[in-house]
Amino acid sequence: MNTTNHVVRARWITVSASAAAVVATAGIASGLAIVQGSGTAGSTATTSSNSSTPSAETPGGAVSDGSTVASPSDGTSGAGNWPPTPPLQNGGSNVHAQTSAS
Amino acid sequence: MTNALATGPEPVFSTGLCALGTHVRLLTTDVASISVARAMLIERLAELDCVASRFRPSSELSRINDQSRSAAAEGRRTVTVPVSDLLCEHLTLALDIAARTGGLVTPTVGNDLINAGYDADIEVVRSRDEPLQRDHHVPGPADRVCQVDKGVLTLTAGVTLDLGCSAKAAAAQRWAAEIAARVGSGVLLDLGGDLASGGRVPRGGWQIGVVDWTGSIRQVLTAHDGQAFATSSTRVRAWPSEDGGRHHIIDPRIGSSARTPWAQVTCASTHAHWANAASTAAVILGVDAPDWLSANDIPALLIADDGTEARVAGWPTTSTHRDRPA
Repeated sequence: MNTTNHVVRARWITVSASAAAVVATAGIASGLAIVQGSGTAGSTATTSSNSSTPSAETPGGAVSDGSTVASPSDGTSGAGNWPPTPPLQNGGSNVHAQTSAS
Repeated sequence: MTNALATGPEPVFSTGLCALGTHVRLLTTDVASISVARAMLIERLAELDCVASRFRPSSELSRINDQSRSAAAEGRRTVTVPVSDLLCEHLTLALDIAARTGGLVTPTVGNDLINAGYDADIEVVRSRDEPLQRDHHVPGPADRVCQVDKGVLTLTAGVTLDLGCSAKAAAAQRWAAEIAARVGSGVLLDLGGDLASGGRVPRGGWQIGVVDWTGSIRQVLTAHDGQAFATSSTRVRAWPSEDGGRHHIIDPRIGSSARTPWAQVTCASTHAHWANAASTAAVILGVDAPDWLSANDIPALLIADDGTEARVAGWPTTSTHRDRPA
């Protein structure tokens, strides 16, 4: 089967407990898209892409002492990569099926 | 009476079973089609389990994970393995999801799941008197490569793959369409809370209840063509641990169960796998989830640990609270 070549790399390196620096990379390889970003706590990482192909957003943010969850370096990156959902509407009294925790 | 029947809700028919470590429910608009639909579903479930199960030792995925560990033990950097068409499709989709979520939802967290104690069927994990202590080697420094090209997987030696973040939802999406095409009626498929439909929609639409971890219906939505739903939760696939408890949603940034204020996130999308990817990413993102969901126009109902709700990106605001359905 012929498929698109994908590479996903992720690297989170805690450089300093106080500086909380994080380097993160994520992307699609084989010339489709590469996104890289780096930043420190509270900053916005830079992103770049060598393609208009839907690309990976860069996770990153702060990992200060191992207990703080990093936040996305750019909360809006990746926008447009998701298909638009037709408008939702409330339902009636019958329930055919349920979406639930499993 | 005839008019009422013609304009009222259309009856649908359902069958259920347990598979993939969760509940499975199939609904059709035509009672005559349900036995064929069920047989087809069981066949597909068996195929998927043989390919993508992390807990079945003989599955294709388990054999690849074994090869990955062996390669690491031999000091090799990568392992290269031809994969079946079905596994190739699931891996390709999982990598697409990883890209769209910036690496937050990734198939490369198998070691982290094992280290967290999720190394067997969830019932086995829950039944342990004491948490399992595992310390599987995680390729370092946290650099994991997973590549699929022309049916060949290249993986950093030592990485354990887990397709729990995508395979079930993707299967729901594909099978609903396949079964509907085969039986010629409308089909709604629920694989452990990942919902997708195929074929014609019953009069009035599919009625979808969003159910929380206590069994209460928080809201009922009407699903039409091109709408799928998925729910991710920290409350159900969870087990005790020395540090207070773990769950199955791994935050790859910390290599452990996500620390999040959300007990449950339900997302809607065009496909169940996109909905599931988004709901999983939202749990991992924690307080940043509403902004991320809004930025990506992904409708979602988020329920916090204290039961409070947040709705984003066009998720309807009117809610109805009901008891658990019969």
